[in-house]
Amino acid sequence: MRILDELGDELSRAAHDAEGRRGAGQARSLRRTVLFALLGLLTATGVAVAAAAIIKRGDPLPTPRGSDVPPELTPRAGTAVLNGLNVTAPDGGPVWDVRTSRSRTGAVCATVGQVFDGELGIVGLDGTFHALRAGAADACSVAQQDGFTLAGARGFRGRSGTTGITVVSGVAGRGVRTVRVAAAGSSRPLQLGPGRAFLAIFTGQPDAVRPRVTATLAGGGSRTLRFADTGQTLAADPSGGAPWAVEATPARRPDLRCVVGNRTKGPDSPTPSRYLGLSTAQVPVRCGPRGTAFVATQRFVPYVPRVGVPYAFFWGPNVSRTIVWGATGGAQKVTVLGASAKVAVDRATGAFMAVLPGQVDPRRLSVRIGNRTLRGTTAVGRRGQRLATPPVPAWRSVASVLAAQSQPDPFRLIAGTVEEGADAEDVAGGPAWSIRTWKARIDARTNAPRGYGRDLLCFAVGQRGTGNSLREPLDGGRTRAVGAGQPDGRCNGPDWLATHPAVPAVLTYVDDPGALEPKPVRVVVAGLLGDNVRSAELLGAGAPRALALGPHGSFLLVLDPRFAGADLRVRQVRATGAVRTSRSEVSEAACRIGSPPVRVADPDGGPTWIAGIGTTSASIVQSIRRPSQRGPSPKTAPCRYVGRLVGGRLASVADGRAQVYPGPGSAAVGGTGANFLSPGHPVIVEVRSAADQTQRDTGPTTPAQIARRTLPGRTTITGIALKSVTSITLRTPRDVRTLVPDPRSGVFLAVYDGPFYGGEIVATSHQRNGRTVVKRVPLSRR
Amino acid sequence: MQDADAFDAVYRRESEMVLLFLARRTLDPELALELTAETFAQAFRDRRSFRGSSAPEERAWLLTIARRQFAGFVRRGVVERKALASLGATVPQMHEDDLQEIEDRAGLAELRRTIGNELARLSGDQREALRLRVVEERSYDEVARTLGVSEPTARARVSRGLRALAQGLEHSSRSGA
Repeated sequence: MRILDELGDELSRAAHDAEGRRGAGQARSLRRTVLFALLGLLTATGVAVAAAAIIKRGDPLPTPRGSDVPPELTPRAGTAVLNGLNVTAPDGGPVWDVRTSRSRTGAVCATVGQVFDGELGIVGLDGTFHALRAGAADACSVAQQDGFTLAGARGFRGRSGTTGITVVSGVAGRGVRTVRVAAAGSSRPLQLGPGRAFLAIFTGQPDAVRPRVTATLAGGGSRTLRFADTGQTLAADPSGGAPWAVEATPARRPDLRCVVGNRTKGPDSPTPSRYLGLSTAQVPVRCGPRGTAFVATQRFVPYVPRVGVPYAFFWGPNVSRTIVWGATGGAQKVTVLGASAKVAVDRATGAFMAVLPGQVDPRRLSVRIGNRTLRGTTAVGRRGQRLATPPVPAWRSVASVLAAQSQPDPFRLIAGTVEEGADAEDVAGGPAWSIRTWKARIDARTNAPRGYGRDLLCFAVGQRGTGNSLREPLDGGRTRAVGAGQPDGRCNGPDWLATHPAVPAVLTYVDDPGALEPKPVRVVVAGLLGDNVRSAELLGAGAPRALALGPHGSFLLVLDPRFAGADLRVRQVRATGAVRTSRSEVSEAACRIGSPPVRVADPDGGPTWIAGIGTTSASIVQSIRRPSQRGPSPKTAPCRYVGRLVGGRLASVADGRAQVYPGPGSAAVGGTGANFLSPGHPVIVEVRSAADQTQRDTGPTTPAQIARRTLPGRTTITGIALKSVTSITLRTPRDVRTLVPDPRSGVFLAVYDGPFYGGEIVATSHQRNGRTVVKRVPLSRR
Repeated sequence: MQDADAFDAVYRRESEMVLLFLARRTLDPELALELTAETFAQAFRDRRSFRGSSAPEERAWLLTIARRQFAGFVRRGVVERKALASLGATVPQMHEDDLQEIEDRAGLAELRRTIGNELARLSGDQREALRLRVVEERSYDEVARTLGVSEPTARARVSRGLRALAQGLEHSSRSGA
C-alpha cells in the first residue's frame, strides 16, 4: 500500500535519525511485501418408560407450507421408514428414533423424534405427544458414499434455560463401516439402522455437550464432524451451564509457561444483565517454571467495571466462583483436596482448571499433582514476578451488584403529575384501552444533560387491568405493566412540542405472533401533541377522524385491524392557526420486497422467514451516503433483507411481544454485497444469532415452543452468492445442510432455533465449474 | 525491536495489520493512518520497555498501543501526536486512491452496512436516533429536530438503542467475502 510505504519511509528516516545514524546509505526504504490479515470486527437419569398411561396425545404438529420448503427438502410419500434405533433419553419419555425417507429430488431425508404407539413425534414439555407427519423432514441431503450424508446435534428444550437434551443423529454413507460419538469425556460406537441412521442422546445443550461423530470408512480412513466442539479443554461449571476453556498461553520469558482460562458463552454466560459490552468471566494469566507444577487458587466475585479503570483480566458482573488453575509438571493426575471438584487437564500442555461454587473458601483447598501437594498460589506473574497472596473477597450475588449499579431509566416520574386521558373501546373485545400522561425529569444518573429546561411530558397506553393499572398485551396471553414510572414511557419536552408536530405512535397488535399467519386484531394510535394545539385529526384511516384531545394534547384511538400498514398521519391546528402534519415512523422504507424472496419455514411454525433483494427509499439512501461520495444521489438503491412474511408484507416480530413491525428484521441497506463477490470469494455469509432475552426467566411462552421443545431465540445464516455457485454446504454447530441459492438473486437463507454460542460455521460453495471454495466464520468471541 | 533496523522489520510486517485494525474501528482511513503513525512512533520511543522476543508478542504489543491510541482518540476527540513530534516525523498526505484502497481492504463499506444491519433490528425510534447520531454523526440537537422530539428524548433513545445494540452484537458475528 503506497501510503504505508510513504509513512514507513518517514518513520524509518526519523527512527534512524533518532539513533544518530543518519546518512543516505543508512536510511532504509520500507517497501512492504507482507499482505494483511483482517481482524474480527468486535471484539453467549431418568429411566425411560413406555409411559403410555401418562402421555396424552395431541394434534400432529403442522407441516410447513409447501411454498416454504423446496422440493429437495420435501419427503416423497411412501418412502418413510423408522430405523428402530430406540434410544432412551436421560430425561425419560418414549424412546427416540430416526425416520429416513427420500425427497422428491431423490435426496436422503431424516427426521428425529420419539416413538409412541409406533408413530414418530415429540412429547412436549406438557407431556402431550404430537406426531411428526411424514410429509416434512428435519433435513435432506444428496447421498454420500464416504462420510456422512446427514449429521446434526439438535438441542431440545428442558424446563430451564440450561437443561434439556442434545440429540446427535444422522445418516451414514454406504462406504461407512462404523460410527462413533464422543462427548462429555467418553466415546462409544453407535448402531446403524436399516436406513443407515444413527442416534445418541446427551444431557445438556449442544454448546455444552460439544459432540463429535467419527465415521470409519470401509475403504480405510475416517471422517470426523465436530458440533460446537472447538477442541479446547473444558472444565465444567458447577451450574451445569456453559463450561470453562483452559489453555496454555505465551509467557514473557522463555523459561516460563503460563495458563489462562475463561468461561465460554452460553445461555447463562455471561451472567444476564443490562450492561453494555459484557464479556464472559476470565481468570488472570498465571505462570510457573517450565517442567514444574504450579497452581493458583482464588475466589472471584462480581463487580462492575468502571470506565477508565484498566484491568488485567475481566471478571465483571459475572457470578462468584472459586477457581483452581495451573499446570502439571507432566501428564499427571490432578486432584483438588478440600472440596468436591472435577479437574480438566489439557494433556498436551499440562494446563488444568477446576471451577467450584463461589461459596467455597479457597483457603481450605489444596491440589495434589502426582505425588506433590500444593496449597494456595505458587504461580508467578507473566514476567516471572512474585505475586502477593490475593485477598479473599466476601461472596456476593450478581443481583446485589447490579441492583446497586444499574443504569436507571432516563425519565424519572414527578409525583402527583399523572393524569388520565379518555378510554377507548377495544375493537378486539378485550378490556378498554386508556392513555395516561405524566411529567418527568431526566434522571441525573444517566448521560442526559443536567438542568434541562422544563419538565418533560410523557404518555403510555395500555389496557385497563386490576386496580388502576395499565397492561400491554404480550404473546401467549401474558401482559406487562405500562404507565407512569415504568420503562418505555414516551416523553417529549414541552418547549419542543410548542414548535414541532409530534409523531404518532402506531402499534399493530396480532392474535398470535407465533402463528404462521398472525392476524392483526387492532391498531392502536396514540400521541401527545402538547398544550399549544387547538384541534387535530387522523388521516389515512378512511375519512378524517377528529381526535379528542386530553391532558397536554394527548389522544388515543383503537382502530379496526384493516388499517394495519396504513399510512397514518396526524394533522394538527396550533393555537397560532398554523397547520402541521406528522406521519408515523415507517421503518418499512429501509428495505421493501423486490423480486420474489427465498422462503424458509420457521422452526416453531411461526411466520415464514424470507430473504431477498429489495429497494431502499430515497430518504434512506440519502442518509447513509458518505460525504465523500460524489455525484447526484440515486433515488433508490438495492438492499438485501431478512425478515418475516406477515400478510404478504415484509415484517419483523419482536421476542415476547404481540405486535408486528413493518419492515425487515435486518437489512444491508444501500447495496446487496454482490459487488464484493469474485470467483475467489464467491459467497458472502452473514450469521445472526440471538437469544430470546424475554425467556430467560419465563420459560417457553407459546404453545409451539411447549409442543416442539424448540430453543428460544433464532440463528439465521444468510448471504449472497455468485450465479456460478450451484449449492452451498453449511456446517454449523448444529448440523450439515446444503442450500441452493436463489437462481435470480443468489440469496440463500437457513434458520435454526436457538442461538449458536461457539465453534464456527464452514460454508463450502460448489461452483458450476466443479471448483469449491471454503469460507469459515468463527462464532466465538469473548 | 531494540534498534531502528529491527523497527523497520516490524513496520514492514505489521503496519498494514495495524492500519486495518484501526480503520475498522474508526471507519475513517485518514484518521486510521494518523493513529497508525502515532502507534509506531510510540512503539519506537518505548522500544526498550518491550520484553517480548517473538513476532506474536510484537504484534500483541503493537495492538495494545493501537488500542490505547484509539481509546484516547475516542475520549479526547483528537489524535495525540506526542511520539511523532518527539521523533520528528510527519504523516504523509493521503491521496484518493490510498483512501479507496484502505476502504476496500478493511471492508469499510461492508462494515458500515453491518452496523446498519444491527441498527435495523432495533425498534423504530431507537433505530432512527442511532442512525442519525452514530452513522450520520449528527448533533443531538439535529437528531432531535429530525426525529421530531426534544433533545433529552433523542439522547435517551440513543442511550437505549446503544444498550440494545450492544446486547445484539454480543451474539452476532459476521463475515464478508
